[in-house]
Amino acid sequence: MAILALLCGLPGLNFLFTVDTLLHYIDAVLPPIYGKGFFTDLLHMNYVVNCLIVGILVRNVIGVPKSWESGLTYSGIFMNAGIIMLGSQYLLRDLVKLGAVSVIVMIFMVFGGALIFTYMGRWLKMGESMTALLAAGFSMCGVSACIAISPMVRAKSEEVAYAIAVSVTFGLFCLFTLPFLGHLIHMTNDAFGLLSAAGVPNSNQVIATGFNYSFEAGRVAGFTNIGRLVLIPAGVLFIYFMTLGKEIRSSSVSYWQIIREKFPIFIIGFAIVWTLNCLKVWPLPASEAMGRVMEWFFSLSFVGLGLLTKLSDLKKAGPKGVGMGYVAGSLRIGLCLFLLYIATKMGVLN
Amino acid sequence: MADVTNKGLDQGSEDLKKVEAAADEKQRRHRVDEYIAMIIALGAVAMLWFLQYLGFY
Repeated sequence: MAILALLCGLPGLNFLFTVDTLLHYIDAVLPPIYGKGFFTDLLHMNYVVNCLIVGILVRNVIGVPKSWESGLTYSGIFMNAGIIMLGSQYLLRDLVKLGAVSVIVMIFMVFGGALIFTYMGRWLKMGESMTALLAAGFSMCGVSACIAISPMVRAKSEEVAYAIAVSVTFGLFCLFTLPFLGHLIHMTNDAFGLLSAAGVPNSNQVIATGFNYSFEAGRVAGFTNIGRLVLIPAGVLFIYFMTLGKEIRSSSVSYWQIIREKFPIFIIGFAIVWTLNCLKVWPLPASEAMGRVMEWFFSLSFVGLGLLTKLSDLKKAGPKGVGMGYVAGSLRIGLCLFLLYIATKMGVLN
Repeated sequence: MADVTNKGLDQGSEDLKKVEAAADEKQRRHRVDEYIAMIIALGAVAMLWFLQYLGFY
């Protein structure tokens, strides 16, 4: 698979025989609407949406054989591989430009988002474990964060499934609606990339939402999402302390073990590639080829994401969980938009 | 009454053990996936670097 991706990293080759090409062709043949192509310009059908929609359609209309299930769970590997290769698209000036503002926004969103969920959960009497699961799922890394925090807050298995369903469906909702909102309020690529990384629950969906807006926004989303991933161990501990009363907390929880286990180690790979790129170890054409390979990795993981998306999960999530998840998730997005507005006004963000 | 309560507690701790086991398994798998991703991505970078060295780019 990697060899195929590498081969397709050669300029132009991966553009052959794709749905993307077909839609460009149809748009070229059909008369334009308001001077724009129907699929590519008005519906923003790019390689992200195409991969996802085909995946979702196959899963929910045709169905996926049981024997595929375990193999499909490996599609997340390509997302991590793509994020590592994203390092080849950054230089030191990107860190200078986005580093400080993204760190501040991420700290606000991880800890502020957890507070929103905690207080909302208490207000709606959702129960401590359910509140903690939703706070972790929405403030950090969706599915992984829900599972990571579940034994610490003594969650029931159905609560874990329920919280995962809410965060995944909200991420899916963001993936298709946020780009339209971004275009509506004329957000810059930097601002939209930050909004995706801070507002969308799951990492896969963060990257997909960013690239759904534009390549540049996807690049920024991937870069700033790393800040959020680094904050996972601290966020898990924060939610643990915020949601559970002192008398319920387990004395057997080792903080150092949590930090060690939850730290996303693949970020070291990103740091290596980024450092080599900053040192100009390879020339620009090689960097561009790495960008094409990265797109291939992301495409594979987007198809996998679509094939793993069960629309029946919406029913599983239930009205109360969906209500709280969507309202608090939207509040987080509102908070993020406010922070981005302040950053833009202060001149620290384009 | 006490029997019913004990049965409920047993079921609760059984479920908690199941959740713990699933979380441990997921954590282990997540780590393995991260290492595989690092091998694939760094391998791809090294290959492209080598291709560039040979004059392909």
